[in-house]
Amino acid sequence: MRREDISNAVGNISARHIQEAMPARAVRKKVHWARWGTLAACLCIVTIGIGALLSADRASGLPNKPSVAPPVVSPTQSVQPETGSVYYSQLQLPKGRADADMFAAFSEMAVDLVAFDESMLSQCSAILEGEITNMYLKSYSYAVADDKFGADTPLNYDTKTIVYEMRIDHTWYGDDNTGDTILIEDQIIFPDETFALKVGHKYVIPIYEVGEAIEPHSAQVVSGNITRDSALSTVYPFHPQIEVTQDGGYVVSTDWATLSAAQGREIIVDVDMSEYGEFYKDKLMLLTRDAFSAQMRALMGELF
Amino acid sequence: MDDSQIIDLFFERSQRAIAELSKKYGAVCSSVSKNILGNSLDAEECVNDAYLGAWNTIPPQRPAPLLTYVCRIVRNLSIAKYHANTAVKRNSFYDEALDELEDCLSSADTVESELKAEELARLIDQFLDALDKQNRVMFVQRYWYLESVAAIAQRFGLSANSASVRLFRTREKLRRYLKKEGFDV
Repeated sequence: MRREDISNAVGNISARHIQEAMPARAVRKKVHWARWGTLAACLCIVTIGIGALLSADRASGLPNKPSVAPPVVSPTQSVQPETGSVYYSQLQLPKGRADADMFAAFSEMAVDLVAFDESMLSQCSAILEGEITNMYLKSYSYAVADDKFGADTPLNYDTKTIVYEMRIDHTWYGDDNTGDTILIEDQIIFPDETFALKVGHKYVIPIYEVGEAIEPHSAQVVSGNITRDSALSTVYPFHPQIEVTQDGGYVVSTDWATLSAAQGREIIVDVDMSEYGEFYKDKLMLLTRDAFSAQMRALMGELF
Repeated sequence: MDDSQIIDLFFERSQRAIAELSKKYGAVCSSVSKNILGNSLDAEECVNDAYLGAWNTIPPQRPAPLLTYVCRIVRNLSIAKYHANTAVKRNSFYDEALDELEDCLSSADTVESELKAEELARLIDQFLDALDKQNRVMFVQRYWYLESVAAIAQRFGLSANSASVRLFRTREKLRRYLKKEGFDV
């Protein structure tokens, strides 16, 4: 049998499988024309700005934390249904928006998306609740061996990650490290200032161990340091992470099928959002701590 | 615009049909073709030829789903061009994917004569139905859409190595399944 025969056979598989697996269209964050016009002039300023930002963050230490008590996870036999809607602007969330420099660093990023599915959590090493106490950009420059342009002509790469410091208030799954501060290093920032992770805000984030190094390709790295600051990464950084409000509620996107099966309150998003955020404007709900806890335990029982 | 509206435009012989088709599915068609051919110019030509093919066959056909119909044309045209174009280096995702799939099948010539592509496709369909959704989507993205392992890994929040291991395990399952169904692997 020729290997092309199996390729032909795969080419003739059912339309339902092809349709199901269609990669989402590539999406690109819109960049204002004004930004292009001043890109060259701003490049050095942005670079200096990021440096100053990092210096300032490190010099000033961790920001003040809002007084949010950690949740008490108690078994509940019944979940009190809540009715009615709530405006996003009325949620008890800490003030402050995402850092513009962080978005500038990732503005050229393009990604294809597959919708979040709770089965993706099967690979996660922990699901942690805690406060983002600091965040910073990290740049990598490295070269890998490649013969594409002839022997001894390595390919050079530049990439950035965003590193979050998270103080763990509660462990929903995984080894209990409550009280510790960990680093989570992601290669993407959710491109919406409303839903991106922010310092001083609390989230529930599934993480997994991605390894000690940025994986460029399978090729050999010939120069540069590709060691990550953290081996941990967010399982699915392409949707809003579950955010914890200051009065103990949980803002959950409905792609968490089990969690959103609970009786919760619809969230009406009444704040400006990017095109990415818009996708979730009618897909958010607010759960009480008890409802969230009950559903999360049910989900953990199903998955692990 | 949904598929039925685009097909209506084809039936009306409106040139907007091509524009809307391209707007909705152009990116994924180009991606499939580029993955096979390894260069944008040939890929663009194949995608345009596929649009022409759709224009010539709709009507009378009213394909559903439209994506699969157009993408199949793109895939077939791109593979044909790949084989015809001897200048193409043997380094596209198509070749990588073929190399991986080859291990699933026997090298015995006798099997070839007995095997029909439709029958093999039916078996692969059955095999895919038995997989969980994530592994099924990863398999189809890799071997139908010819996506790179790195791109698939990124979509699923996996490391490239982890995605490779999953695909390897799925291929092993396929190999065992085909053997069970009578292929002398």
